[in-house]
Amino acid sequence: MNLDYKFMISDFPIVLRALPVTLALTLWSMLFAVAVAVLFGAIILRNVPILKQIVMAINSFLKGIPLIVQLLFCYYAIPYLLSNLDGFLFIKFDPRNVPYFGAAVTAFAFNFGAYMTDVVVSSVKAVDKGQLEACYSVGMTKFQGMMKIIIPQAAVISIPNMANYFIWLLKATSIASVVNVVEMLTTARISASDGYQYMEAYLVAAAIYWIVCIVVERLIKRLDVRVGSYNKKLTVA
Amino acid sequence: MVELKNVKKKLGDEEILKGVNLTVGTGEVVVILGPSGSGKTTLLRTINFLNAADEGTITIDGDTVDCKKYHKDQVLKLRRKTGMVFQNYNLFKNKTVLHNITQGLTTVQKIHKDEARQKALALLEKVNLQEKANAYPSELSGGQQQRVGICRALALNPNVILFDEPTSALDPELTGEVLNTMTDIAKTGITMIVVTHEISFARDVADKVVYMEGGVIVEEGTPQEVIGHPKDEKTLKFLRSILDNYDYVI
Amino acid sequence: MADGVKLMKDALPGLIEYLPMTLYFLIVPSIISLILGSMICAVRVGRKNVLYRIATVFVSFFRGTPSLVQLYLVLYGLPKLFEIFGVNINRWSAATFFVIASILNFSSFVSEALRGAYLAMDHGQIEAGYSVGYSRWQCLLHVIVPQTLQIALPNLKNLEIDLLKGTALAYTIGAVEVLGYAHRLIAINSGAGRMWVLLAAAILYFVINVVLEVFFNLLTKHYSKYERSLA
Repeated sequence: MNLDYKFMISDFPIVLRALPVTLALTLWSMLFAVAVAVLFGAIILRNVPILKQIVMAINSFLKGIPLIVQLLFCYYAIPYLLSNLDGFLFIKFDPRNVPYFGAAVTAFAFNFGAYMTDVVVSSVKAVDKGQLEACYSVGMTKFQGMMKIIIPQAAVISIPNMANYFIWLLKATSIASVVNVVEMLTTARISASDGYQYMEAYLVAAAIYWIVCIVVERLIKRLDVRVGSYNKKLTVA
Repeated sequence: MVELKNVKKKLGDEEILKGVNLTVGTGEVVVILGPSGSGKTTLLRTINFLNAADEGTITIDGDTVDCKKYHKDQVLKLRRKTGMVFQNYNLFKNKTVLHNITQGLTTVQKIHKDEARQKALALLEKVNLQEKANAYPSELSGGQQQRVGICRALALNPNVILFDEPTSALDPELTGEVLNTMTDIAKTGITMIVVTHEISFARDVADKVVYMEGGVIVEEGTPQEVIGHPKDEKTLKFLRSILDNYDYVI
Repeated sequence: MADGVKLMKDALPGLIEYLPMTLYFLIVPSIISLILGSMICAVRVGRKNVLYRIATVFVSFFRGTPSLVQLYLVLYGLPKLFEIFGVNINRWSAATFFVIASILNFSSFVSEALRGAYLAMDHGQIEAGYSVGYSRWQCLLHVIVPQTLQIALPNLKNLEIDLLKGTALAYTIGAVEVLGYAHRLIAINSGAGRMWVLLAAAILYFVINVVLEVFFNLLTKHYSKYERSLA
């Protein structure tokens, strides 16, 4: 297979330079997705009438539609929304400066937020019921109990799942290349367009994604061990 | 100190509590005996509203709450007058032993954390667990966890401590240390309501024994009366079933 | 708003025409990946020889890199690979490349799902199978496969739904299915009503999604009738 190995080596730093964009895209999306998940999860856990059904329907829809469709939708909808709200409050829309990054984050946040809602709900439910009862027995209100005891435990329980979604999200950011976000895949494609070394460029991109995923996986294993250390088992005397 | 009047509770179609009346005086140790399904645990949990009763009134130290019509704040007030020791200990898993005890003090009673710490350490010393102050519950044996649970309840200076089968989840060799701790506490004069199967504790430490079956109190009296000379057939049957060589004097 | 709904209604017949293509991209890779994935799984739970190492790298790569990147790699790389053998495959349709990329990707996820299920299985069942005289093949057929599939079912359902959603990426390499046609429609109308066309496409995908869910729920019910515990 005649691959342009020289190109591959020189392309590596070029694509790598776009890694921060990919990471930024992942982290911002994760942040807002968690926010969505916590909000929706709270509504579901508190059994708010009507609102709960609406949230579950929205989530069902978000999980049942391809991510690319949602990205395209936000790609069209966000500029449309902003141009209509131009001048309202502090919103200024510059048609030359379309917020592609923000539109992509919005799409990712809602899509992944729908999946993470399930993680939030199941994690809170997985906390031993007796813990909340113990909170009540010392006179805490439900709010105090949730804040000090239940939510911290739920957060630890949710880490493996959240970690998986983080890695999923990291790979999904490559789809943002379809909606004009200049992240790693776009950069790889652009770098290859001169000499048509697409295969080489994509191999470089694939390698970087692969390595980053493996590294993140290892880091998260470490985090899980440290934060969950209060679960250490009793050594048999 | 504690008064339950006509407490009723239904679960679905089944009546778990059929109008229970119970009075517990200040400093009294009351043990509630009964077969499983008798409603004794449910009764205990209605006192601090972990299971809200459907009807009746609960009075603790002068504060009365009507189970039919009550406000969240009233429940909170009741809960702050009681402490509970659970069958499964229910220590806060994500907090150290020390913080388990200080949590209620700092969050609920707004006591300064240094003062809370002193209080907690003093209590841990009394049960001989001060070296475990910075350990997590998962590192302790069942008996140790339960003793911490007792400290947690004691720390809040409640009017009454409720014990929900405190030794039932323990291996037999560990029940002794917990029962000893409970005996020591009883000596300090604190009001205790204990649901248990440990007849020896009832006989030796209780001021009043109550026998429940089928959602009602069948018999109540001093340990000598209820355990020594039970008046009701049902009480007799129960005691025979759980005690070997049960002999009673008429 | 009303003309938006009209736009949707107008777009639907055209989109539905491309439904078979989406289903083709869904079903063909599913079946082939189930077979390939089982084989990979079998290698991965076996001895740690060279084949095992190759399979491990294969699975790690196809799970650890984005599917879009894999798609482009197959599109550009497969012809180059075949060049070595002197075969020219540039006449192959974009759809074929998409199916191949899907198979490579999906089979690695399927193999992991099956592997997890196999490891979670009660191995006493296998011993019981041998003790009643099953041969290796019979044990595989009557004990291992049904139980592994049952445990893996929830994961397989989610993977299948992901595969469905992945078919929407086919248009990026020129294989036109529902979303591809939606794109064409939008281009033809110079962008007018594009959000409504997208919404119409979204609803189609959602409908297929619901059908898949119903299918898998029925399967789960069928399998779990063995799980009903004594009253």
